[in-house]
Amino acid sequence: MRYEVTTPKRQVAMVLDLNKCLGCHTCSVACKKLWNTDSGTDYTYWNNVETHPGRGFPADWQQTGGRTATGDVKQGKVPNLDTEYGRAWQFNHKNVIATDASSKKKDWLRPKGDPSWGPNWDEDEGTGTYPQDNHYFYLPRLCNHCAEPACLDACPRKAIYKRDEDGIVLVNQDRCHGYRFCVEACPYKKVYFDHERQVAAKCIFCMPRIEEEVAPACARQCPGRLRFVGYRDDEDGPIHKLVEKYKVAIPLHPEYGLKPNVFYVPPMSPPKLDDKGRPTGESRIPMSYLEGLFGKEVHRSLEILHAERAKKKQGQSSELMDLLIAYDWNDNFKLDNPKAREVI
Amino acid sequence: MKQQTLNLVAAPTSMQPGGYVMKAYQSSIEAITASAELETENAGKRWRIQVRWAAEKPVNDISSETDLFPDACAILVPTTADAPWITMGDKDKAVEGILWRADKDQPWSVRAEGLGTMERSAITEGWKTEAEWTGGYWTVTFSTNNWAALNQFKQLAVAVWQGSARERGGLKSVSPGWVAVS
Amino acid sequence: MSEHANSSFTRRRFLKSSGAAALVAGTGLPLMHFKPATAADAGTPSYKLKSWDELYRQRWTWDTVAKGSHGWVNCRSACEWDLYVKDGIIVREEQTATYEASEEGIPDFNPRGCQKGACYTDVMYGPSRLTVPMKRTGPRGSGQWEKVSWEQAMDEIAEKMIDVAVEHGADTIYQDLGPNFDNGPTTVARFKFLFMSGGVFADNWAEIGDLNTGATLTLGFAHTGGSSDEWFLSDYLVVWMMNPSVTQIADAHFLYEAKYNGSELVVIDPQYSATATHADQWLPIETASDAVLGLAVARHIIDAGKVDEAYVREQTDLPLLVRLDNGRFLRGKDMVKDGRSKTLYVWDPKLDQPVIAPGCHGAETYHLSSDIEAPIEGRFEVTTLDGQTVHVATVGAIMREHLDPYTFEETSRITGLSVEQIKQFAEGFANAERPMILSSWGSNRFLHSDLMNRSKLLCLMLKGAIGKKGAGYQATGWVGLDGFGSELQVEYSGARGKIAMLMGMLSPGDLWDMTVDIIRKKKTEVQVARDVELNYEEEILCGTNVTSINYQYQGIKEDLNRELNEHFPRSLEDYFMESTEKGWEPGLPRNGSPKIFFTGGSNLLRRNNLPQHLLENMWSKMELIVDINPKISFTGLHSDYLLPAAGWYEKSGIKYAMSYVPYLHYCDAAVPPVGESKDEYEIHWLLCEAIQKKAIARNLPEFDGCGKRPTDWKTLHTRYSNHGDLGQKDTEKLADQILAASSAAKGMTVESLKKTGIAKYTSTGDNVGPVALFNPDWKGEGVLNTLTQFTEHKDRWPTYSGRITSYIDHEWFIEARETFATHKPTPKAGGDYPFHMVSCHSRWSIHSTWRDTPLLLRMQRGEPVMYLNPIDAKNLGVIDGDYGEFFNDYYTMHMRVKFSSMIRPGVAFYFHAWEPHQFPDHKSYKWLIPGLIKPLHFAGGYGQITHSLNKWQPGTAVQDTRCGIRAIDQNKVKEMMAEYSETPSTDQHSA
Repeated sequence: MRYEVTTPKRQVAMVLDLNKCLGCHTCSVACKKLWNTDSGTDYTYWNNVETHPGRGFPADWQQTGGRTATGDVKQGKVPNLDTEYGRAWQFNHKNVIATDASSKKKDWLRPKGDPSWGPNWDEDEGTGTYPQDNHYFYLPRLCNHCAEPACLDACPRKAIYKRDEDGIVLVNQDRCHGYRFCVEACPYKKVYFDHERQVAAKCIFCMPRIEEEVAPACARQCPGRLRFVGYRDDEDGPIHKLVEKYKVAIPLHPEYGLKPNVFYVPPMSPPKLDDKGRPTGESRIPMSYLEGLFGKEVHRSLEILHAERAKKKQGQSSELMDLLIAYDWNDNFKLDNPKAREVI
Repeated sequence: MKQQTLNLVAAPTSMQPGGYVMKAYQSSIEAITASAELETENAGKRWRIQVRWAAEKPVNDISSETDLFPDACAILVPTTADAPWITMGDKDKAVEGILWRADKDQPWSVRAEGLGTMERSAITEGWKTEAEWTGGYWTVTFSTNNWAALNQFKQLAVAVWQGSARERGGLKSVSPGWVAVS
Repeated sequence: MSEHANSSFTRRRFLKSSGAAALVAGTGLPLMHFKPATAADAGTPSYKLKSWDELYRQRWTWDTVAKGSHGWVNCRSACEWDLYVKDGIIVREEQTATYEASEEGIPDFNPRGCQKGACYTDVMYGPSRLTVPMKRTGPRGSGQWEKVSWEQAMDEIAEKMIDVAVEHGADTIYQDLGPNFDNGPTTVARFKFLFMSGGVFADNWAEIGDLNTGATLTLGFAHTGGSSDEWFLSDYLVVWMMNPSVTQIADAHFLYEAKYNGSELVVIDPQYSATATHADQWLPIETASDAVLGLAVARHIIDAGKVDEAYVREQTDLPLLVRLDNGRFLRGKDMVKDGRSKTLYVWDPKLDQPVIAPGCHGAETYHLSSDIEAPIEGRFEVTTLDGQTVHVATVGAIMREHLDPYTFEETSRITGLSVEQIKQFAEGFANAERPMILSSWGSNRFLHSDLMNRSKLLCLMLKGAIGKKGAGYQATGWVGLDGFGSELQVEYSGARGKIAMLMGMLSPGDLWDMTVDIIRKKKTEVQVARDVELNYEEEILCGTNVTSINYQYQGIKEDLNRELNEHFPRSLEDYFMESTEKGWEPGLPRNGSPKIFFTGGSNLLRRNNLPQHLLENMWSKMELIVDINPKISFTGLHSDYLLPAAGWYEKSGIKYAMSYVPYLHYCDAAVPPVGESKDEYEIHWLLCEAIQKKAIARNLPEFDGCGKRPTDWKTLHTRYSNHGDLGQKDTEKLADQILAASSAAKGMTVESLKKTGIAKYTSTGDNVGPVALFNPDWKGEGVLNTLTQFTEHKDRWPTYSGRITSYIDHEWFIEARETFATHKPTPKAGGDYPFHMVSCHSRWSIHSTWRDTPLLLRMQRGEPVMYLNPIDAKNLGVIDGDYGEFFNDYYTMHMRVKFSSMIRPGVAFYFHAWEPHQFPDHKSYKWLIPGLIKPLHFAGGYGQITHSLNKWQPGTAVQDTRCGIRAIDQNKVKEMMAEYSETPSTDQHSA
C-alpha cells in the first residue's frame, strides 16, 4: 500500500535559473566537499551538473525507470558503479612522480582501471550540426524533495520521511537496511547507495544549514548566482514569485507525478542558422527537447522570459528581470520565517 | 537429525509496505530459489540448523559496488503460538531468528513484528555459524546452545536471497509456512 | 628636500611597482612527497556517532575559521574564502561573500569563487603536494629523489650559486617571473631575492601568449579594463576571444545579468563555447579571421555615420597628418629647423595649415584638449622645410581607403559568416551607445593576434567607447599596489628605504628637471612618474623576456625562421639581429645561455613550446635548477632541488590586484605550513643568509649585476632583511609594509584583514605603469571604470603620438604592411596538416594547478582529451575515448579523443595546461607546437614600441599550429598501459 505523505507545515524549495548557469560545477564540488568525501560515497554527487542533450549522471538516468511518463510506478534499476555512475577513480601519482631507478619508461598519470564513464563524461558534447544547430546546455540537478517522493514510497522499512518543519526528504540511515528500492524508484536517480556503510544516502538539502537559516552549499556557493532558496508559502520570497506569480520556474519531468520542489527557469539559446548561415527565428535548443525535460509549460515559461526581457530592452521596468538579475545576492535566499516567529 | 527438502515460494510482493515494491515487482511470483535442503539436529537445548541451496553465481562481497546484493538466508521462529510467518510476525506476535549474509563475518540476530519492522542486532553469544559455497551450492550451518522459542514451538521458517537475482528485503524465496523441525 | 614633503611623490612614481607588480603571469607548479594520507583522508576526521544525522551535523562543524584566498595562483581575479579548521586540518572552504554592490542599480559581486577554489584543500593535502626538501639522486627527470634537510639544501644551493656566478656573472641567474604571482610577501620575497642578487627578470607575459600587444600598440599598455560589474552597464556586449563562463567564473554572471537588463550579448568564437550558449548572437567565425570582422565593422561605423567625431578628433590619431610620399607622419623635422621627429601635426582649418598636434611630444603641453577643429578625413598639400610640396592626408582619410576592401561580402568570404549575420552584428555595434568588447589574455595567441586586437580596438575608438563608463575594452586591468613594487627593492624598512631607492634611480639633475616640469605644469606628476618608470627599466632593472632567451638558446632558430619564411619581408633572425644591434632587445644574460634557473609560481617545461629542444639545448646547460613550490610539477620533476613552499592557506599573502573585483584579498595562515614546508619569504631569507655567510668567508668581490648595477653578495642578506629589520619569521610584518606603502590600500593592516579578509581598494594606485587603470578620481566608490585620465582629464596617452593609435609608422611596420590593423592569414605552423590546433583555458584548472587533482579529474575524464567535432572524428575513424595519434613536422604524440558538437570542424581543440606526465611517454601537445614569434615584436625605439615588462616584448603564438590525426590500434595502447606496473614504487620520501 502506498504510504500516506502528510503535507509538511512548510516546504523549502529551490529555483535554478539555467540562463545563468556557467557549467562550472562549483555547486557539485561544494556539495561533495561538505558531504561526500568518504569511501562509500566518493562516487556520489548529491548535486551534479550535466550537459544536455546527453546521458547525464548516472548515465541515461531518464531511462532508469521508477516512474512512467504517466506517473505510474515502473520497476527501476540500480545504476552500476562503473558504467553508469563512474567510480571515484584512483590515480597513480606516486608511480609517475617518483619512479624507481629500474624503470626506463615512466607511467603517465591516469586513472586506474581504464574508466569508460564518469559523472561528467559527456561534458560539453551536445548534439546538432555545426554551425547551424549544434547546441547544449547545462542542467544542475539535486534531489527534488518531492511532495510525493518516490523514494519514500519505495522503502519497505519506512526509513525515508519528509520533515514536517520544512519538507526536506531524509533517509533515516539507522533504519535503512540498504535494500536500494529507493535508488530504483527515484526516477531522477537522486538516492545513492553508500556502499561502505551500506545504507541509502541522499541530498539532505543541507539540513543543518537550513536549521541555521543558511542556504544549502550548492546554492550559496554558486558563483553564477542562479539559485534561489526559500519557502513555497512565502509570498514575498523568490520561490513564490518565480514559481507561482510569474510561472517561469517549472519542475523537471513533471510527468513523473512526484511534485518536485526544485524548479528551473528554462534555457534560452542563440538562434539556429539556416544552411546559408543566416540567423533564423528559432532557438538552437529544440523546443521538443525542452518539452521532454520540463513538459508543455516550458513554452509559456520561455514566452514570459522573452516578453519581460523585451520590456527591459525598451527601457521599461520588469520585476521578474530584476529578480533574476539578483541585484542583492542575499535576496536570493529567504529562509527566515517572520510569520512563524510572530506566532512564537 | 531431520533432513527435509523445502519447496520454496516467492515471498508475496503484494504485501510489501509502500507503493513501489508491490507494484514494481508484482510479476515476481516465481521463487528464484526453488528449493532448499534443511537439516536440523536437536540435542537438549542445542540446535544445529543447516540450510543448503543452489546458488550458481554467489555474491559474497558488495562492499565496493552499488548494484550488487549479497546472498543471504534467514531462519525465523515464532515467539508466540500464533505469530504469522508470511508477514514476519505481527504486533505483539514477534518472530525472531538469525540472518546470515554472505558478505558479513557474523550473522545478525533479528526480530520483527510485521513487514518492514525487522530489527538487526549483534548476534548473541553461543551461536556459531559456518558457511561454505562449493559446487554451486551454499551450505550454511547455524549452531546454538539454546534457542528458547525454537525449543518451545519446534518450528521455523527459512528465507533465501539470491544476490545475483537482486533479491533483498521482501524479494526472497521462503518456505511456504512454518516448518516443523521435530 | 625633506622626507615628508617627498613621500607621496616618491610613492607615486617609484613603486616601479606596477611595473614590477605585474611582471608576471601564467603557469604554476608544485612538488610533492608521498605521505601515507592523501587529501581525502586528511580532510575527513573520523566521527564517533550516536545517530545517523549526527554524521551529517558533525560535518558542518569546525574549531576555527580563518579568511583566505588562493595566493599566487594565476586566476584572473580574486575571491575570499572562509577556511574551516578542525583538528588542525582545513576541512573545507566556503566563500565569505561579503562584497557590496559598487553603486545603486548594479548587481553585487557575491559570492564569487569557483569549483577550484572550493577544493584547494584537495591540492593542499593532495597527492602531488611537496612537504619536504628533496634533492635529485638520479638524472634530471628520472624521478629519483632523496630527502634532505633545509640546512643542507641551502648550503649546497648557495655554494653552487656562488661558483657559477663567479664564472658567468650574477646575470646568469634566471627566473621566469610567473605567471603565478601575488602582491604579497611570497612574490616580494622571490623578486627581492632576484633583484638583490643581480639575477635576470625574464618576463613571460608574451611568451605564454597573454600579452595584448594589440592593446599596447593602440593604447600604450597591454592591460586595461575595469571592475567586472562595469560589464553590466554596456548595452552591447561583445565577447570576442574570451569564454568567461569557463575562465572568469566569478565574474561571468554580470554578462547574463546585463542580458536580463536588456543588453545584447554577442559571442564571437569558432567554438560554441559555454559562454556562447547564452548569447543573443553567436558568430561561428573561421579560426583566426577575426581581424576582418573588426575591419568590416569599422568600415560600417564610418559608412553609417556613427563615428564619434569629437572624441576621435581629440583622443585618437585619426586627425594626424601622414606624408603620402613615404607613409610617415608629417614631423617637426619636416617642418622647422631643428624640429623634433616626435612632433606630429594636425590640420588647422582656420589657419589652413598644419599645426602641432595636441598631446604629442613636441606640443606645448601634454594635454589633448584643443580648440582646433582638425579634420578627421582630409587631404592637403604642405610645404616642407626644404621647400618641397608634399601631399599629406589624415590618418582617417588613409584609413577609409584601407578599410574599403572589407565589405560585408568580402568579410563573409573570409570569415565564413553569412552577410546577414555580419550585418546584424555590425549594425548593432554601430547603433550601440555603450559597446563593450571583452577580450581575454587568450586573445593573444595567434601570430597576428595584435592585428585582431587592433581591429577590435579600432571599432571601439571610432565609437568613442574607450575610456567611457560602461563601454570600451575589457582586457584585464590592475589596481596599482605600489607597495609590492617598492618592498621588493628597498634595503631599509619605512621611508628611509624608499627615499634611498628613489635616489638610486635618478640623478640629481633628473630630479631637478622633473620638479621643474611639474611646477610649470608642463607635465603632471603621473606623466613624470611614467617617464621615470621607463628610465627605471632601462637603467636599473635586469629585465628581459623568456621568448628572447628561448629564441637564442633553445635550439629553435632554424625551425622558427623556416616557419615564418615568406610571411614577412625578412627573416626572423634578421629582425632579431637588427633589434640586438639597435639595443631594442635587452640582450640578457650577457654571457650566453643562463646557468642557474629558479622557478616557483611557474612551470616552464610544461608550458614551453617544443620542450624537447628546451631540454636538449638549454636545460642541459643549466648548472643549477631549483624549484620552490608547494606542489610537484613537470618542471619540478626535472629540477635539482625541490624546496617545499607553504601553500596558500599556510602563509600570509595578498592576492594580486586585478581590477575585476576592486577589493584587496588577504590570505591568512589558517594552519602552519604542512610538513616541513616554509613560506617563500622565509625560504629566501634563509638562502640569502647562506649566500652572505659564504660570500664573506670567500671574500667574494662585487658582481656587476647585469651591467647596470653592482651587487655585493656579502651584504645580500643584510639588504634582503632591510638591515636586520625583517626577521626570519616576519612574513606578516612584510605584508603590513606592503600595505602601508600602497596608496590603494589606505588604512589596511594585516590585523584588520585577518578579520574581514577583504577590503575595498581606496584608489586605483599609482596609475603609472603599463598595467595601470588610469582613473585618478576613483576612490573606492562606484563602478571602477578606467582611462578617464585621458578621456576626462585629457592627459596624453602613453603612445608614440600621445593618442589612441590606429596608425604606426615604425619602419618595420611600414615594411610589413601593418601600419593599420589588417587581415593576414594564419600560417600553417608545424606543416600543412588538416587540423588547426586551438586551445583555451580550462574551467578545471588554473594552468597546471588542480590539473592533477583527483577530485576534479573525476569530473573530467581523468586524462587529457583532444576535442573533435563528431563529424571529423567519424571521418577519421576515431572513437570517443580512444587514444588518437596527433602529428605534424615536429612530433607524434598520443592523447584521448573527446567528441563535442561545440567544436568547429577542422579544429583540434584542447584545454590547456595538462602536465606532460599526464600523457603517454610524458609528451604533450607542446611537442608539436613551435610557438611562432612575430618578428615585429622585436621592434623598439618608438614610444610604446619599447621592450618593457608587461607591455611590449616578443611572444610565442601557439594557435597557428596545425596537426594531422590518425586512429590507432587501441590494443597497442592497452599493451603499452599494461607495461607499467600497478604496484607502487618504494616510498623513500615519507616524512
